[in-house]
Amino acid sequence: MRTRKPFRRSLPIVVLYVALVVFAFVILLPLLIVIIPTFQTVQESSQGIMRLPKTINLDNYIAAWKQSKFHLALRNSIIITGCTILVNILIGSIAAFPMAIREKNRIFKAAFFMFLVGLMLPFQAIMIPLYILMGKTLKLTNTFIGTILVYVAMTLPITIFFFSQFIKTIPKEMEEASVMDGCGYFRMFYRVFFPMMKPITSAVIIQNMIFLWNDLLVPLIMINKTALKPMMPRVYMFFGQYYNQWNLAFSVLVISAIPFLLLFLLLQKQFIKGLSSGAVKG
Amino acid sequence: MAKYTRTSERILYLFILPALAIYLFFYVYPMLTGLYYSLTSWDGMSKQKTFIGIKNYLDILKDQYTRTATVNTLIYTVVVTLFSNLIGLALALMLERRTRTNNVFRTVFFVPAVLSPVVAAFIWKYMYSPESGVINSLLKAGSLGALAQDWLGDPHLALISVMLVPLWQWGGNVMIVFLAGLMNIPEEQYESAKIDGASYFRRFIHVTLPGLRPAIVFNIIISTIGSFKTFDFIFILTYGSPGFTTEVLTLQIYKHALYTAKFGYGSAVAVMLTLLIVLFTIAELRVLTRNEDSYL
Repeated sequence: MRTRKPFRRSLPIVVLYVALVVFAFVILLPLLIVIIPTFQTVQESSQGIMRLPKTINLDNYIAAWKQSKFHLALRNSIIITGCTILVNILIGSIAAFPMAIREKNRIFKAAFFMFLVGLMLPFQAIMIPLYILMGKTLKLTNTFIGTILVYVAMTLPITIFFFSQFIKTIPKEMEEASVMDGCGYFRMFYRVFFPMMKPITSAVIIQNMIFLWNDLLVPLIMINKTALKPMMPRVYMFFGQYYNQWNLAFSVLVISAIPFLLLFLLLQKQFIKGLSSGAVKG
Repeated sequence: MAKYTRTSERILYLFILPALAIYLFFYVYPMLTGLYYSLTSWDGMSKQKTFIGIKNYLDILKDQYTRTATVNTLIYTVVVTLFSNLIGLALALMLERRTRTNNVFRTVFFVPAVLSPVVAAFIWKYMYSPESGVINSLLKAGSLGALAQDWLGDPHLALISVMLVPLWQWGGNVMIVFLAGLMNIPEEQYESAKIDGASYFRRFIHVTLPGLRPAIVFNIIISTIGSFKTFDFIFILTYGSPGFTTEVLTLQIYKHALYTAKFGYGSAVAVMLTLLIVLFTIAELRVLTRNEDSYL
């Protein structure tokens, strides 16, 4: 990585780090505060919810896991998120390809514009028509396939936007060279372009994963069977039921966030590289 | 270009077909049906959808709740967009150098962004709660009990308290984009500015800011759209209360759709919200990219 001679070394370094530590404290305090009660025993929590527990006590987590049927929510979230991302990348990347290399074509231009509108559309604008379409016409509410289809449609705009922005930065010569080699467009895409799109693919996966794993609204209208609910609606429901039992409620909150936090800490470089390569090359 | 004739161009249209089909059917089609509903007095249940033209849209102008929700949405959007960008930019400038300490700080600041808004909202509901809440407890412990507030219950404070949550959650996300933007500014520009004897401030104005323009455009557009669409935070934190002081348009559409059985009217509000988002985005793009090739 490039290191730049810091032009801000003129800034007093102490002030800088004091500010950073204060910021970090503000960011982390709410997270730590939530973790404390999850380790308390019943006795400790009756003495005060912010009292530091003496031992690491996992009873709350075990109880919360069982009572929320957490394994089901986890399974559902993995299925829904995984399938959506797979379909989304497969059809989104190849759809972005003609839109990027034939920018001037009127049909591709119109299609691209239509996807762009999707970026701006609030989900509430399609909520009830979608509910009627999925529930009454297609009978796809309370199914994974219905939820996945809705999610694929919802994530396509950002996917196509990111992919086409990236493909536009690939030099035209790549295409011309493969045409000279007698390469069809399908092979050209999978042999030449797709391998070059790795960084943006991971960016798209990460962006969509953050949205899908954390979303509340879509399952709220698509799925009302508790056993089929993914993570966040389950957490929301559980929190409602156990609102005065902070220890359990927070335990569920923590375990719902852990898989994703771990993934982020493990793949941090990809997260950051991915997010930036899509965002800045305009 | 004549060589293209050897490879069939038509297959390119096939490439966009699967994505377009799913998108049209599960996104565009509901959007158009919503548009049609907005011209009816439909309650969401009955078979009958009476066509009433633009009456719903005229009602929006008269409805003071919708007006309040619109004003709140605009305040929320402007404040959150402005401050998340200022915070993100400040953090990025402070952490630009790649050192091990800075990497730790970057990670810390980005952590809230990978949490669900649901989780963030529940955490802050607990932070803000008047009796057992963390903020008030800390204030009392620091013998600043007089400053303790009903953060989400006080009509003058509620919207401000709500707006702090997205700043907490998304500041780090904005920072990441700015950091990437800073990496794209060629080192030579700083060097030559230094040789000319430009101060830190002047280098910031003449080198950093122009170099960051793509990142600024991206961040502002994304925050604007995201803020207009905000739902989970307010749904969990206040549900629009106290009174209508934190009511926003997305929440109002949700309520009209599910509880007031005014689906025609709710759809009209949804169309208005969509138009607001499109208008704001286009206006921002115009202002921010006026001297350049268009961003998109």
